Amino acid sequence: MLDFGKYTFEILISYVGTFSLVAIVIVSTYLDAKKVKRDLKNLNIDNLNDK
Amino acid sequence: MIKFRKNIWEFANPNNFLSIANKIIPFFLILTIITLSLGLVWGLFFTPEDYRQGSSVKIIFIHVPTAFLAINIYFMMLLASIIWLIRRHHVSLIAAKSAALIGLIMTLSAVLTGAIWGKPIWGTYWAWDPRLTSFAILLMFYLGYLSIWQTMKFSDKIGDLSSWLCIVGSIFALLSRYAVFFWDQGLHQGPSLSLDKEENIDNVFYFPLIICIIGFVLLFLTLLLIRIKTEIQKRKINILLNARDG
Repeated sequence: MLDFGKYTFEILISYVGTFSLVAIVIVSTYLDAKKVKRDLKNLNIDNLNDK
Repeated sequence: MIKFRKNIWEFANPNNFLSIANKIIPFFLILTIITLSLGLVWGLFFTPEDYRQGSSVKIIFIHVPTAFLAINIYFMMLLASIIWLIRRHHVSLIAAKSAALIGLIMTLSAVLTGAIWGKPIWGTYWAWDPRLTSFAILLMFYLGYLSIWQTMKFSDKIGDLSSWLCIVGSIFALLSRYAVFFWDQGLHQGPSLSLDKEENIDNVFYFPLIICIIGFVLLFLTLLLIRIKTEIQKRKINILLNARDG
Protein backbone atom coordinates (compact mmCIF):
# COMPACT_ATOMS: atom_id res chain seq x y z
CA MET A 1 0.00 0.00 0.00
CA LEU A 2 2.80 2.40 0.88
CA ASP A 3 4.68 1.97 -2.36
CA PHE A 4 5.25 5.27 -4.14
CA GLY A 5 7.65 3.94 -6.74
CA LYS A 6 11.23 5.10 -7.07
CA TYR A 7 11.09 7.69 -4.25
CA THR A 8 9.16 5.72 -1.61
CA PHE A 9 11.94 6.09 0.98
CA GLU A 10 12.29 9.87 0.46
CA ILE A 11 8.51 10.40 0.71
CA LEU A 12 8.07 8.23 3.79
CA ILE A 13 11.05 9.71 5.63
CA SER A 14 9.71 13.24 4.93
CA TYR A 15 6.24 12.46 6.26
CA VAL A 16 7.41 10.38 9.24
CA GLY A 17 10.13 12.92 10.11
CA THR A 18 7.75 15.90 9.99
CA PHE A 19 5.05 14.20 12.02
CA SER A 20 7.60 13.01 14.59
CA LEU A 21 8.68 16.63 15.05
CA VAL A 22 5.05 17.79 15.24
CA ALA A 23 4.34 14.98 17.74
CA ILE A 24 7.10 16.33 20.00
CA VAL A 25 5.36 19.74 20.12
CA ILE A 26 1.92 18.17 20.64
CA VAL A 27 3.11 15.93 23.49
CA SER A 28 5.12 18.69 25.19
CA THR A 29 2.15 21.09 24.90
CA TYR A 30 -0.22 18.48 26.32
CA LEU A 31 2.07 17.50 29.23
CA ASP A 32 2.79 21.13 30.07
CA ALA A 33 -0.93 21.99 30.06
CA LYS A 34 -1.72 18.97 32.23
CA LYS A 35 0.99 19.83 34.77
CA VAL A 36 -0.07 23.48 35.03
CA LYS A 37 -3.72 22.49 35.44
CA ARG A 38 -2.78 20.11 38.30
CA ASP A 39 -0.54 22.73 39.95
CA LEU A 40 -3.29 25.36 39.76
CA LYS A 41 -5.81 22.95 41.25
CA ASN A 42 -3.44 22.01 44.12
CA LEU A 43 -2.67 25.64 44.79
CA ASN A 44 -6.35 26.56 44.96
CA ILE A 45 -6.96 23.68 47.42
CA ASP A 46 -3.99 24.82 49.56
CA ASN A 47 -5.33 28.37 49.59
CA LEU A 48 -8.77 27.15 50.70
CA ASN A 49 -7.18 25.03 53.49
CA ASP A 50 -5.16 28.03 54.68
CA LYS A 51 -8.33 30.07 55.00
CA MET B 1 -14.88 50.84 13.55
CA ILE B 2 -14.47 52.31 17.03
CA LYS B 3 -16.34 49.34 18.47
CA PHE B 4 -14.13 46.90 16.53
CA ARG B 5 -10.96 48.62 17.72
CA LYS B 6 -12.21 48.53 21.28
CA ASN B 7 -13.14 44.85 20.97
CA ILE B 8 -9.84 43.72 19.51
CA TRP B 9 -7.94 45.09 22.53
CA GLU B 10 -10.24 43.16 24.86
CA PHE B 11 -8.18 40.08 23.88
CA ALA B 12 -5.32 41.70 25.77
CA ASN B 13 -7.21 40.94 28.99
CA PRO B 14 -6.05 37.40 30.01
CA ASN B 15 -9.48 36.46 31.40
CA ASN B 16 -11.27 37.48 28.19
CA PHE B 17 -8.63 35.64 26.17
CA LEU B 18 -9.03 32.45 28.24
CA SER B 19 -12.83 32.43 27.98
CA ILE B 20 -12.70 32.86 24.18
CA ALA B 21 -9.85 30.33 23.78
CA ASN B 22 -11.72 27.70 25.81
CA LYS B 23 -14.69 28.00 23.47
CA ILE B 24 -12.80 27.81 20.16
CA ILE B 25 -10.06 25.25 20.90
CA PRO B 26 -12.35 22.17 20.45
CA PHE B 27 -13.65 23.49 17.06
CA PHE B 28 -10.13 24.18 15.85
CA LEU B 29 -9.02 20.72 16.97
CA ILE B 30 -11.81 18.97 15.04
CA LEU B 31 -11.22 21.11 11.93
CA THR B 32 -7.47 20.40 12.11
CA ILE B 33 -7.99 16.63 12.18
CA ILE B 34 -10.49 16.77 9.27
CA THR B 35 -8.48 19.07 6.98
CA LEU B 36 -5.07 17.50 7.66
CA SER B 37 -6.38 13.96 7.12
CA LEU B 38 -8.22 14.98 3.94
CA GLY B 39 -5.30 16.95 2.48
CA LEU B 40 -2.61 14.40 3.26
CA VAL B 41 -4.60 11.34 2.12
CA TRP B 42 -5.61 13.15 -1.08
CA GLY B 43 -2.06 14.32 -1.70
CA LEU B 44 -0.36 11.03 -0.91
CA PHE B 45 -2.71 8.53 -2.51
CA PHE B 46 -4.82 10.35 -5.11
CA THR B 47 -2.40 12.56 -7.00
CA PRO B 48 -0.41 11.39 -10.05
CA GLU B 49 3.39 11.42 -10.44
CA ASP B 50 4.95 14.54 -11.92
CA TYR B 51 6.34 14.06 -15.43
CA ARG B 52 9.80 15.29 -14.38
CA GLN B 53 10.01 14.74 -10.62
CA GLY B 54 8.22 11.40 -10.50
CA SER B 55 6.60 10.50 -7.18
CA SER B 56 8.99 12.74 -5.21
CA VAL B 57 6.54 15.58 -5.93
CA LYS B 58 4.39 14.22 -3.07
CA ILE B 59 6.85 15.81 -0.62
CA ILE B 60 5.28 19.15 -1.66
CA PHE B 61 2.29 18.46 0.63
CA ILE B 62 4.60 18.58 3.66
CA HIS B 63 7.35 20.91 2.50
CA VAL B 64 5.25 23.86 1.28
CA PRO B 65 2.87 24.07 4.31
CA THR B 66 5.78 23.83 6.81
CA ALA B 67 7.81 26.45 4.89
CA PHE B 68 4.71 28.69 4.67
CA LEU B 69 4.23 28.42 8.44
CA ALA B 70 7.95 28.85 9.22
CA ILE B 71 7.87 32.30 7.61
CA ASN B 72 4.39 33.40 8.68
CA ILE B 73 4.77 32.30 12.31
CA TYR B 74 7.82 34.57 12.45
CA PHE B 75 5.73 37.46 11.05
CA MET B 76 3.06 36.73 13.67
CA MET B 77 5.77 36.83 16.37
CA LEU B 78 7.03 40.10 14.89
CA LEU B 79 3.56 41.66 15.07
CA ALA B 80 3.06 40.43 18.66
CA SER B 81 6.52 41.74 19.64
CA ILE B 82 5.78 45.18 18.18
CA ILE B 83 2.44 45.28 20.03
CA TRP B 84 4.33 44.38 23.24
CA LEU B 85 6.94 47.12 22.72
CA ILE B 86 4.30 49.77 21.97
CA ARG B 87 1.31 48.84 24.14
CA ARG B 88 2.90 46.57 26.80
CA HIS B 89 0.17 43.91 26.59
CA HIS B 90 1.49 40.76 28.26
CA VAL B 91 -0.79 38.48 26.23
CA SER B 92 0.95 39.58 23.00
CA LEU B 93 4.36 38.80 24.51
CA ILE B 94 3.09 35.41 25.69
CA ALA B 95 1.68 34.77 22.19
CA ALA B 96 5.09 35.43 20.59
CA LYS B 97 6.83 33.21 23.14
CA SER B 98 4.27 30.41 22.70
CA ALA B 99 4.54 30.46 18.89
CA ALA B 100 8.35 30.18 18.81
CA LEU B 101 8.68 26.43 19.42
CA ILE B 102 6.05 25.63 16.78
CA GLY B 103 7.86 27.96 14.35
CA LEU B 104 11.18 26.27 15.06
CA ILE B 105 9.72 22.82 14.38
CA MET B 106 8.12 24.03 11.13
CA THR B 107 11.39 25.62 9.97
CA LEU B 108 13.36 22.49 10.82
CA SER B 109 10.85 20.34 8.97
CA ALA B 110 10.91 22.65 5.91
CA VAL B 111 14.72 22.52 5.79
CA LEU B 112 14.86 18.72 6.24
CA THR B 113 12.12 17.88 3.74
CA GLY B 114 13.67 20.38 1.31
CA ALA B 115 17.03 18.60 1.61
CA ILE B 116 15.44 15.17 1.13
CA TRP B 117 13.54 16.47 -1.90
CA GLY B 118 16.63 18.28 -3.21
CA LYS B 119 18.78 15.16 -3.51
CA PRO B 120 16.80 13.40 -6.28
CA ILE B 121 15.86 16.66 -8.07
CA TRP B 122 18.96 18.87 -7.74
CA GLY B 123 21.49 16.09 -7.07
CA THR B 124 22.48 17.59 -3.71
CA TYR B 125 21.02 17.85 -0.21
CA TRP B 126 22.18 21.42 0.32
CA ALA B 127 23.38 24.41 -1.69
CA TRP B 128 24.15 27.95 -0.52
CA ASP B 129 21.20 29.20 -2.50
CA PRO B 130 19.65 32.55 -1.32
CA ARG B 131 16.41 30.99 -0.13
CA LEU B 132 18.05 28.01 1.58
CA THR B 133 20.61 30.22 3.30
CA SER B 134 18.00 32.70 4.56
CA PHE B 135 16.00 29.75 5.90
CA ALA B 136 19.08 28.43 7.74
CA ILE B 137 19.58 31.89 9.31
CA LEU B 138 15.87 32.06 10.20
CA LEU B 139 16.30 28.73 12.01
CA MET B 140 19.16 30.28 14.02
CA PHE B 141 16.95 33.23 15.00
CA TYR B 142 14.22 30.87 16.22
CA LEU B 143 16.85 29.03 18.29
CA GLY B 144 18.22 32.31 19.65
CA TYR B 145 14.73 33.56 20.54
CA LEU B 146 13.87 30.32 22.34
CA SER B 147 17.23 30.25 24.17
CA ILE B 148 16.47 33.66 25.68
CA TRP B 149 13.23 32.37 27.17
CA GLN B 150 14.72 29.02 28.22
CA THR B 151 17.66 30.52 30.08
CA MET B 152 16.03 33.54 31.74
CA LYS B 153 13.02 34.12 33.95
CA PHE B 154 9.88 35.78 32.58
CA SER B 155 10.22 39.53 33.00
CA ASP B 156 9.43 42.68 31.06
CA LYS B 157 13.14 43.25 30.38
CA ILE B 158 13.54 39.80 28.83
CA GLY B 159 10.35 40.50 26.88
CA ASP B 160 11.97 43.62 25.42
CA LEU B 161 15.19 41.77 24.59
CA SER B 162 13.39 38.90 22.85
CA SER B 163 11.14 41.35 20.96
CA TRP B 164 14.14 43.28 19.58
CA LEU B 165 15.79 40.00 18.54
CA CYS B 166 12.55 39.06 16.77
CA ILE B 167 12.52 42.41 14.91
CA VAL B 168 16.12 41.93 13.72
CA GLY B 169 15.38 38.35 12.59
CA SER B 170 12.35 39.48 10.59
CA ILE B 171 14.79 40.64 7.85
CA PHE B 172 15.65 36.99 7.26
CA ALA B 173 12.00 35.96 7.40
CA LEU B 174 11.37 38.53 4.66
CA LEU B 175 14.35 37.23 2.69
CA SER B 176 13.08 33.65 3.07
CA ARG B 177 9.78 34.76 1.62
CA TYR B 178 11.04 36.99 -1.19
CA ALA B 179 14.52 35.62 -1.98
CA VAL B 180 13.11 33.78 -4.99
CA PHE B 181 12.00 37.14 -6.44
CA PHE B 182 15.20 39.07 -5.64
CA TRP B 183 17.72 36.63 -7.07
CA ASP B 184 17.50 34.51 -10.15
CA GLN B 185 20.57 32.47 -9.33
CA GLY B 186 20.23 29.47 -7.03
CA LEU B 187 18.62 26.10 -7.22
CA HIS B 188 15.30 26.85 -5.56
CA GLN B 189 12.39 27.30 -7.93
CA GLY B 190 9.93 30.22 -7.85
CA PRO B 191 6.92 30.15 -5.52
CA SER B 192 4.61 27.11 -5.84
CA LEU B 193 1.57 29.27 -5.12
CA SER B 194 0.84 32.64 -6.65
CA LEU B 195 -2.07 35.04 -7.10
CA ASP B 196 -1.34 34.78 -10.81
CA LYS B 197 -3.13 31.63 -12.01
CA GLU B 198 -0.63 31.05 -14.83
CA GLU B 199 2.27 30.68 -12.39
CA ASN B 200 0.53 28.20 -10.11
CA ILE B 201 1.18 24.48 -10.05
CA ASP B 202 -1.34 22.23 -11.82
CA ASN B 203 -4.80 21.99 -10.24
CA VAL B 204 -4.30 18.29 -9.57
CA PHE B 205 -1.66 19.27 -6.96
CA TYR B 206 -3.01 22.75 -6.16
CA PHE B 207 -6.24 21.78 -4.36
CA PRO B 208 -4.84 19.10 -2.00
CA LEU B 209 -1.93 21.46 -1.30
CA ILE B 210 -4.29 24.29 -0.30
CA ILE B 211 -6.16 21.88 2.03
CA CYS B 212 -2.83 20.77 3.58
CA ILE B 213 -1.83 24.41 4.15
CA ILE B 214 -5.20 25.13 5.82
CA GLY B 215 -4.74 21.99 7.96
CA PHE B 216 -1.25 23.02 9.09
CA VAL B 217 -2.43 26.58 9.85
CA LEU B 218 -5.29 25.19 11.97
CA LEU B 219 -2.84 22.86 13.74
CA PHE B 220 -0.66 25.87 14.52
CA LEU B 221 -3.62 27.93 15.81
CA THR B 222 -4.85 25.07 18.02
CA LEU B 223 -1.41 24.46 19.53
CA LEU B 224 -0.83 28.21 19.91
CA LEU B 225 -4.09 28.76 21.80
CA ILE B 226 -3.35 25.84 24.16
CA ARG B 227 0.22 27.07 24.74
CA ILE B 228 -0.91 30.67 25.42
CA LYS B 229 -3.57 29.38 27.83
CA THR B 230 -0.96 27.28 29.68
CA GLU B 231 1.46 30.21 29.85
CA ILE B 232 -1.23 32.53 31.29
CA GLN B 233 -2.05 29.88 33.91
CA LYS B 234 1.67 29.56 34.78
CA ARG B 235 1.81 33.28 35.45
CA LYS B 236 -1.35 32.99 37.56
CA ILE B 237 0.36 30.26 39.65
CA ASN B 238 3.41 32.49 40.18
CA ILE B 239 1.19 35.36 41.33
CA LEU B 240 -0.73 33.06 43.73
CA LEU B 241 2.54 31.62 45.11
CA ASN B 242 4.00 35.10 45.62
CA ALA B 243 0.83 36.25 47.37
CA ARG B 244 0.76 33.17 49.61
CA ASP B 245 4.45 33.35 50.57
CA GLY B 246 4.23 37.10 51.10
